[in-house]
Order: sequence, then C-alpha cells, then structure tokens
Amino acid sequence: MIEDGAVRLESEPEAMEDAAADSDDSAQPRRVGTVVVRIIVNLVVALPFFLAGAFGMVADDRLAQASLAVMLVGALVVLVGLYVSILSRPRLSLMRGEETLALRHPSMKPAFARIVLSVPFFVAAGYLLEFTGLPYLYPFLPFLVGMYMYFRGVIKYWINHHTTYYVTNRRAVRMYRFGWLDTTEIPVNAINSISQTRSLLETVTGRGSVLVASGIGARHKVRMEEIDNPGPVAETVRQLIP
Amino acid sequence: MEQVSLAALPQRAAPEPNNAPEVVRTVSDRTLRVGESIALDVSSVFIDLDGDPVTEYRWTFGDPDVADGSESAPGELTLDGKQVGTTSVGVRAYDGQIWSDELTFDVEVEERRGFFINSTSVEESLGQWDILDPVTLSLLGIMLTLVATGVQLFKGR
Repeated sequence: MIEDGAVRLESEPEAMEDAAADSDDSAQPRRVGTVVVRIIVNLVVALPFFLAGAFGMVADDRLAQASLAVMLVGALVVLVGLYVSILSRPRLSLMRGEETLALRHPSMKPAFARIVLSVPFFVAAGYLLEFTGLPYLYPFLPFLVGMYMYFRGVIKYWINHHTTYYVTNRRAVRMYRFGWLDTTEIPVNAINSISQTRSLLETVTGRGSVLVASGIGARHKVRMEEIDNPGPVAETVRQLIP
Repeated sequence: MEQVSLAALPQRAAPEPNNAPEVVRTVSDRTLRVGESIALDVSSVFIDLDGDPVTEYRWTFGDPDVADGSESAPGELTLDGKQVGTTSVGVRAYDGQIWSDELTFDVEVEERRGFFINSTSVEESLGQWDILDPVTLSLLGIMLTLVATGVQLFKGR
C-alpha cells in the first residue's frame, strides 16, 4: 500500500531490471548479458596493467619481474571484478504490508569519470620520465595522483555495484554487500531530517545525494549518494514523514 | 775456382707484405649515465685480410675523467661513466705485426637521476638511494594507492 500519494520510483533501468528479476523468468538471459557486460568492462579497466606489463617485458629484460608484478595487479583487478560481476546486488526482504517506493543504485558516472581523469596524470608522468631528465620525484608525483584516482574509480565502480538504496513505506535503507552485508536503515517514524545536496557538477549531470537522518552518528543516517534524479526520492521520503 | 750457376741455388720466396687489420664496421656513439657501466664488443669490427688473428686492442680515452674503461677480454670493453660530459673513445687492433687505423666514437655521460636530485659525478651519486628507481617507484605507487583506496571497499563508502 502506498501511503498519501507517495510515488513508486524505479527510474533506473538497472533498478527496474533488478526488480524484474524477482518476478520475471525472462530476466535470466538479461542478467547473464549484464554480467557479461560487467566482465568486459572489468577487462577494459584492467587492460592498462596488461599493456604496461607486456610492454615492459618486450622493451627490457631487466623489467621482467616488475612487468610480471604489474600484470599480477591487472589480474587482481580482473579477479575482483569477476567476483563483483557475478555477485548479485543486495535485495531487501520486505515485511508483511511493506512496499518499495523507491529503489536506486549509485550512478556509475563518477567512477568512470575518475578513471578517465587519471589518464592525463599518467601522460604527464610518462612525459616527465621519458622526455626530461628531472629527478624521479617529479614523474612519481603525477603517477601517484593518477594511480590514486584510477583506483578510486575502480573501487567506486565495485562499491556502487553492490550498493542499493530503498525507500519503503516503513523505512529508508542503505544496503552494501561485498561478501558481507552492511545495512543501515531508519524507520519512517524516526526520520527527523531530510536533505538533498548537489554539487555544481552533479546539478549539470542530473545527480545528487539525499540524506535521511534520525539523529547524530553514522548509524542514524542513510546517505543515498550520487543517485540519478534525487529530487523525487527526497520528495517520496518527505511524504512519508508523519 | 768452381763456377756456380745462380739457377742452381735454392730459391727463397720473397716475404709477403703484411696488411694491418681493417675497420669493416663502425661503432655508434654511446650514451650512459654517471656511475653506469656498459659493455662494448669490437672484436667483429676489425678484420685482418691476411688472416692473421688480432691479438691485441689498444683503447684511448679523450677525457678519462668523463668516461673510462677496462678490457675484460680482447676487444671487449667495460665503459664506465664518471662525470657529466662528452668524450671520444678510440680503439686500434694489432695483428702481431702492425697496428690498424684508429676507430673513434663519442661517449656522452648524462646526469644520474636520483629521487630528489640528480648527480653529475660518481662522487655525488654515492649518497643516492639506488633502490628508488622507476621500477620500484611504480610498484610502490601501485601498492600504496591500492591499499589506500582498497580500504573503502571494506567500509563500503
């Protein structure tokens, strides 16, 4: 039962797909297709490590061990990516009389943006290393920044795959599962604060965050981060407050 | 007195002229860094057309303060970069009788790259951390950033 005109929101295609997977038998091939796409994305994400490793092995025998280590990091990225791809997203067990009003996953755009933004730093590091005689500190710094952004993007991509936000007629829930399950939920009647935040970039790209709070402390807050079109989600929660 | 015909005397072959070993290939200029050593093999650069084996090589260094070297085997030189600069290196081959023409090539010695500063001489480079080379730094960077960001995966935010 949807109370007081609260709107059911499952606007993201993937969210709708997840919801459909519960009831629709034809969703199985789609799920396989989604997993395959995720595996391909992981392979593309790990590709720089394999390319760098192969280049190092061909270019100089002295780099063989380091190249192998770099390729092992790539293999690690692929393995964790495979695990992430195969593991399904967390789903909420609804209580009797409970209905899902909004179901969202974090947007993948910030994760991909971080990965893409790391590229100029790698280019700068490569230039400083190969085409200048500057001490190694100079190429090392942009390399470090680039690697940090790259891994931030990759980790964000993995985290987002396993984070689900629910708004039901009884609670607001954030679920994260990566082998273990971490759930934060706030009963509707305990909500005392709702806020919606959007940075300039998020405004331009139609994303934002909704913070639902019942008190002070991490366990009393459900932060629905970087979701697409956060306005209707915030509105849905507002309509639930007694 | 008995007359001896010259034709009856045993004939002695005239000594064949000996040729010096010839340079048949060039040696390209080399670049190395301060404190770095590179190996150089010129044994196939000289050929003696008479078939005499080359028994010895003689090396000359234009500025031994810039680059110096020692022969590890005939024709094989280990070249050491001493300090920043450019010098010429010459080499002659000896076939036991005559020395060849000198073959020369240039050697450029560049700064040795350090982590914080570069060094221009071997003495300066003694205090450098050799372990911080690009390979080690790359692996260090990957591991540092992987650990720093991987923590987020466990926290989930």
